[in-house]
Amino acid sequence: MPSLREIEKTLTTLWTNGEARRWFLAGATLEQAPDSVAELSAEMLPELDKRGIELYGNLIGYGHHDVLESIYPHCAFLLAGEWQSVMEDYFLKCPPVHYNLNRICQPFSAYVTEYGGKYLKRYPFLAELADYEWIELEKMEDPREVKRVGGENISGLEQIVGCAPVINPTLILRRYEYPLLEIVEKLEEGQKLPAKIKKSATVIAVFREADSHGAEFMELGETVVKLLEKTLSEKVSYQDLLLQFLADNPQSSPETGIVEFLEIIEELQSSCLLVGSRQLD
Amino acid sequence: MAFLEIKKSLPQLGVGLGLRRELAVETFANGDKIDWLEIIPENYMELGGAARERLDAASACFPLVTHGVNLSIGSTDDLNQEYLSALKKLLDKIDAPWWSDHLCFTSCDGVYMQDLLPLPFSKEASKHISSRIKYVQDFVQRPFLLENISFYMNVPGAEMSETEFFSQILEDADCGLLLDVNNVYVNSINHTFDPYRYLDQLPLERVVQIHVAGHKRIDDYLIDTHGSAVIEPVYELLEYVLQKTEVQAIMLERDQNYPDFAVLLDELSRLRQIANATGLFLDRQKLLGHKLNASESINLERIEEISQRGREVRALSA
Repeated sequence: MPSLREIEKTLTTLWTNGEARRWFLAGATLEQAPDSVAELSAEMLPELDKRGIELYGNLIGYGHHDVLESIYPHCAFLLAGEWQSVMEDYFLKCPPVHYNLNRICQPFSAYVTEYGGKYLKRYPFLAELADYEWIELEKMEDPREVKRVGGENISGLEQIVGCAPVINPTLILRRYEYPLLEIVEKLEEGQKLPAKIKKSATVIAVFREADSHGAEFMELGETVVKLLEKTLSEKVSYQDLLLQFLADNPQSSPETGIVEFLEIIEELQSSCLLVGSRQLD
Repeated sequence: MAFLEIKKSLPQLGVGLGLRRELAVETFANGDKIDWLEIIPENYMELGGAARERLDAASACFPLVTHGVNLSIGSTDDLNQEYLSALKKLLDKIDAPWWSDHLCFTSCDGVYMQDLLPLPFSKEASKHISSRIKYVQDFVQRPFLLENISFYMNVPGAEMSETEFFSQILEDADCGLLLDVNNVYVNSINHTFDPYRYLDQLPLERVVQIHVAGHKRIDDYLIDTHGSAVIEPVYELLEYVLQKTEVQAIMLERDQNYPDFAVLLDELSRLRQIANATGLFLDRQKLLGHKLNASESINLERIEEISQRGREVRALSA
């Protein structure tokens, strides 16, 4: 009698591997078996209920495909008729190794990059679009708490010298080669995408908003990116950021530069990329 | 302490419903008609944002227990420690009086199939599962209930009946039973057996919680969809069990094809009538305790706002 391990491996292979399942359901011989059935328990096969194998194969496949499509609706829309086979191939190449249903879809962007050559020729931004769709979910579910800590208004010299910005703990910066915000906007509005979309490097801040818990996407200019990257990478005061800002913008007078800097900080605070300030030690 | 002794100290929760994002507003709005809530822990483990805020609100208003879908107690893979740690953290946070999962496997070689998959009714499987239940009960330090699943094919390697297999595990592991009477009904049709005889063969004294749900016919099978109204034979099975044993909680499972909430309230009311007729859950104030006040003060607009988007795991199998 096969062991519990052999039984589980045999069933799992037949339920999750479409090629193996089709071979089994067709009643073909072991000599005709595809490579994927190498580890099957041969003595079990005659005893297996074909309709049951087919039903569980369909239930498992449906569950996996349903969640992938719900997380990547724009990718699904663009791939249309090929989406079904893409989903099947994705779960073969990237088996679902996480207990959380949503997380089994995380590697889809990497899958598109590695295996989606023919789709990338048609939609060269597809891997970035997949990343964008994943990040939206990831930020909504991020376990870190987004909480405003006070001190959003920075005005006086004392605060600039003695305080540091508190960054939204869910914030990440994504550098895309294509204009993702424009692409997603067109897809959401049901507009047809241009036949060719030109590269246009963008940096997008992605984060969860404190009150709505929604994932927010914000395109940033290089000056703001530099300020945020500095804030993300080291402990900095507003003074440190201001000095960097002034050095990067020599065309502005110091007075104008300070005003512009404070306007940027106010914008970052109000949009929740920063969630307040803290006193420096 | 032996499980049957532990059972005596478990609280009477009454008649409850699953906390689902789509039903959240109505669920909170009807806190006076729902005694407790069951959550799928995988929808809340290590997650923040709206899910956590909804959980915090639910925890303030209702007693909560978890009903997991990916413990994979029957798998020959090692138990997933990351999963268990996250689950324990959640159970501690909501102070659940017990927790449950299914008699099935959901993973093999580290791959999660995200469905409740049947096992062979073998001595090897029984021993393997009992030992794993003992481990997880020790680790989590809260009473564990094991639920019977709907299954759609017999797995080769059976050395005993399903009830013998299930009973042996419950006795050897010394854990509780979450009895799903809809699953009993569905299996009795799909596999042609007498559901009452099936119930008579189980150690019903171990039942702490009962699940009631609807199902759907798809081709030749009844499928446990949790997406239809509860049918009369399933209510009758519930009645039969309650005449034989005292339980702590009854729960209506609804995971898709949501009807008007009034329909669910009627089903909950029917469950309460059946329980009351056997002398169970008669003192509702005692069941609800202080949580009723919290439910009355909940901000429903906020619950609606945070329940607009997201994706949750259902109880699978369909």
